[in-house]
Amino acid sequence: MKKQIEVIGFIAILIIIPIIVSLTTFIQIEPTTIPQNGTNPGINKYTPSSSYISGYNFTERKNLYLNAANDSTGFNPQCVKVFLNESVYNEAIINSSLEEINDREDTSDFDMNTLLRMMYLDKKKYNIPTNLNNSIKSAILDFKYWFTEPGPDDMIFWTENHMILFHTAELLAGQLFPDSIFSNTGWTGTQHVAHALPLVNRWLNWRAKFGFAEWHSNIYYRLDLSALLNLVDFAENSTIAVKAEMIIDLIGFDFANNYYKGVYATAHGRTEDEKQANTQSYPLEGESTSEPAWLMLGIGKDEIMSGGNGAAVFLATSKYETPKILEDIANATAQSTEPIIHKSRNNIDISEGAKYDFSYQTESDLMFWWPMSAPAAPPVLESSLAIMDTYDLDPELIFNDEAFVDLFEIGATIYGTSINDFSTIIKDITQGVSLESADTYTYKTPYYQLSGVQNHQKGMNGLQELIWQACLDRNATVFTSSPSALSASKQQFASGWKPRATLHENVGIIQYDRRAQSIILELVMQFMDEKSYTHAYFPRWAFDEWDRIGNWVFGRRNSSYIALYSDNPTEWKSEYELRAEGKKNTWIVELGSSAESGTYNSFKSAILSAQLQINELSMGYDITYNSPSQGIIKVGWEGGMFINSQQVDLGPYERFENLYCNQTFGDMRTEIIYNGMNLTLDFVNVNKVTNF
Amino acid sequence: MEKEGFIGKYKVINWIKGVIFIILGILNNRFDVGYHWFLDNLIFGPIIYIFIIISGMLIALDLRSDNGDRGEKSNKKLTIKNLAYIFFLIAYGINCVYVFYFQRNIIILIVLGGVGIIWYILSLFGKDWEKRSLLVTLIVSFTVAFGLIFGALLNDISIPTWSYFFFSAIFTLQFSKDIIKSCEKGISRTENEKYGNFCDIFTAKKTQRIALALQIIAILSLTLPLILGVYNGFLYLITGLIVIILVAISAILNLIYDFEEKYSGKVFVLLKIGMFFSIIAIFFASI
Repeated sequence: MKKQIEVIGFIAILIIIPIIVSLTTFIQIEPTTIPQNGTNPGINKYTPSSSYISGYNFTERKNLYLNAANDSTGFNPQCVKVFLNESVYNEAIINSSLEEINDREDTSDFDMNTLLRMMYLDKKKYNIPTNLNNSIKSAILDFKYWFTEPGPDDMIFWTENHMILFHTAELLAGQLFPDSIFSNTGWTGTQHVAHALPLVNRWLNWRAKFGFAEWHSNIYYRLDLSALLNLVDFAENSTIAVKAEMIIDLIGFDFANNYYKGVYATAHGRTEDEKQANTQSYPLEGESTSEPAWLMLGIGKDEIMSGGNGAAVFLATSKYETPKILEDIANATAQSTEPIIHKSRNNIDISEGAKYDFSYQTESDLMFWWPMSAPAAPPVLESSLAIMDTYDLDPELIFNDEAFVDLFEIGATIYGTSINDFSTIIKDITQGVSLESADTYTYKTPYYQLSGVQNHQKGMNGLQELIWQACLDRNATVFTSSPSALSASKQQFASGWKPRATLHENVGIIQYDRRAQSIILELVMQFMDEKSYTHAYFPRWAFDEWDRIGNWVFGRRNSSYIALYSDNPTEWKSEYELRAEGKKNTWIVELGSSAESGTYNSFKSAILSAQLQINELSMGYDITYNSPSQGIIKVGWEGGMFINSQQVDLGPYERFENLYCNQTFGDMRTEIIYNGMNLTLDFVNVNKVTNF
Repeated sequence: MEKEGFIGKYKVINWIKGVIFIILGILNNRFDVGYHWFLDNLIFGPIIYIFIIISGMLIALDLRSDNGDRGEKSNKKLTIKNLAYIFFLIAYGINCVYVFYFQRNIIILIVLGGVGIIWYILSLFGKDWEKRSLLVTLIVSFTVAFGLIFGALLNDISIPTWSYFFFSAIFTLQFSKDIIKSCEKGISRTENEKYGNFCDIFTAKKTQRIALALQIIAILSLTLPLILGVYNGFLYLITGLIVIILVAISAILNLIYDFEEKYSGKVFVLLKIGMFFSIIAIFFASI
């Protein structure tokens, strides 16, 4: 009997211990961080959203830009000099570019499009000196226009922007010299036109149907625009010219809906740190889309323009005219006193290949997958390697590093699998860098804009993406990231491990986590100096005042407020970097304004007293946040996002869902309606109808 | 106590094996688990489990010893048995902190509690049983192999099938190795006259039969993951085959030799090498 009692006693101990331990978890421990705050009284004067509209009309802006470009000695502005019948050119810079083109260096296609534009603009004018003209002609005739052509090169052909630049260059070069023999292929210009036409058409159709693979890129839209404008102005095939013009309109529509205070303030499929993270002493390099967006739509302030932006130069010298409706929409969204929601979808998932009649084997279909950075993705990799072998392509130009081919082969051997199966094993990397479908959500108010890509490739490693950002003012933008050793150029802020970002109106919940990888891959990442933190870009200097209280950081810019929470303790690493140790973390952002939340202090008080419960799961978290403005928000790593028990639409979205356009994804007809005006972009019948 | 004596008495090698197996258990069930979750488990799992192994080995040692036998109360407060309870409660306490502060599944606490209750009951009532050497061997084998399941549980309560087969293989290998060893003349009797070891109680012939059956189960348990699939089937195949061959040879030798006539250490050595390669195989399966 005594032993039985002892057993019961032992069981009782086993029950009591967890009870005691669990009770201690309810003891509230005050944050150990010392409250910090600061003010920036010398900060630039605040300018409301409605002031970020040009005071000039389209023609005036073009002329302003032409003048700015004519004063520039840069390479792209040489087009303007031809356009304005100038007789003096910067021959040194043109020759330097010709040298790069003749050496077939990477990005030669950018310059080739500029040279071709110069040649077309100079047709029948003969302003370009004969020697220079001959050099350019020679470069055009000797160039390699596609990777299937023979000859060595050091050029990347297959990203979305490169692809249209090369196809456009081939088409225009062929048109320009129809009877000349192109030395690299031995083809005539006419043969090159025949080769390029279906490729250009294919690219345009893909954009019309699926949107962009390099969605909302504040770098590469500039280059897409350059190629498209060349097609609009010089393609002899009217179908191509009209389609190109309509694609430019679609880019303009994206700008109109997503720009905020002169910032392309949304998620980006491809961007760079230099475009996103600036300091007080080193201002932003500037988004490559800023000048084209200003020129096209009057977005942004009328400031001194560089005159050197390729797309802006091409626009200024183009016959393309922005449809009035797009400029009016840009103005309307900037001036609206009511919140505006814009949803859109770009591109498809790799797994949707069959649904849209794409295989993973043929060369033609691979040219759909490669531009979305998917040459190494699971169903594509083997075919990619086969094509690389066929055309003797440099692996470094495909995978960014030659070592990856060895890694794929060694990995497949170690696992005793096919290369595609090995790619599946490491799909968080190989598929992660692929720019699959992006459901972008933008919430714009007069005080702020919150925008991001919903629930996108969570836990995977990205290439150059920016997943979300909050914009209160031109410099007062906030976003988070989880740097990865495997991302392009090891960027700190753009790219990295992708979170599960879930946004609704003024609140975003961003969970970072990643799966444990194969031991080999984990070791490789450690060897490559994988960073152990997530962090936020929060430029304190760009806010009138800021505070850090516990795990919350607050900022005020005029009457706009932001609160940013990190579940892991944070530490300021610089005047703009807020770092939280650990790759697993939850960040919460809530935006407010004087109109919605009262004073800054009342905004802070409401946020600080909001109930927040974050439970860690084996992957991600289970989060309940009682937002002062939205109510009870529940979201986890899986499943939906619920606000007061109502499920939030996290996608998949249609191509466009907003006040001005509702277009089913996959349809090739866009109808934009605003204020009695109508713009129809019909890619099936190749017909652009404007009704203003 | 001399170093070698300590290692032998407290089965320190089994402590190391247990820690290795919990790491392997964690590694083999990490594929839909966050890196940080996995890393925390890799730190806390072995810390918790080392105390479990020590307590298990102490319970086994207590069952083998005569101190406090059959209800006689020891005068010493810090008996082996009490030490076993303390080690278990340390593991249990750390596990509680881990579960509640790191938000782990409470299942791991319940499972560990179950192990503790079994330990306690065995320590209280086990000595009353004449064939307690069976219990001792069971405890040792279970403690060594259970790390594979406990490690997997730390990551996720959904455990891949192959982890169960690995547990089965290691448990049976350890068990058969220990009972074969018990047939070596003079092993236990010199150590403790009252404690009848496995071979003495069940006879050498029966022990060999049981070992053979266990070896066949071990071979099956190592083979099935090859068919059902593991994370890295290729590397597992190479090393797993070595283990299977070694165990198969030991099983054949088991059939050939009659330990009642003459004990052969070859079977034991083969099983020991097999155990070593099984560690490598299970590790390779998780790469």
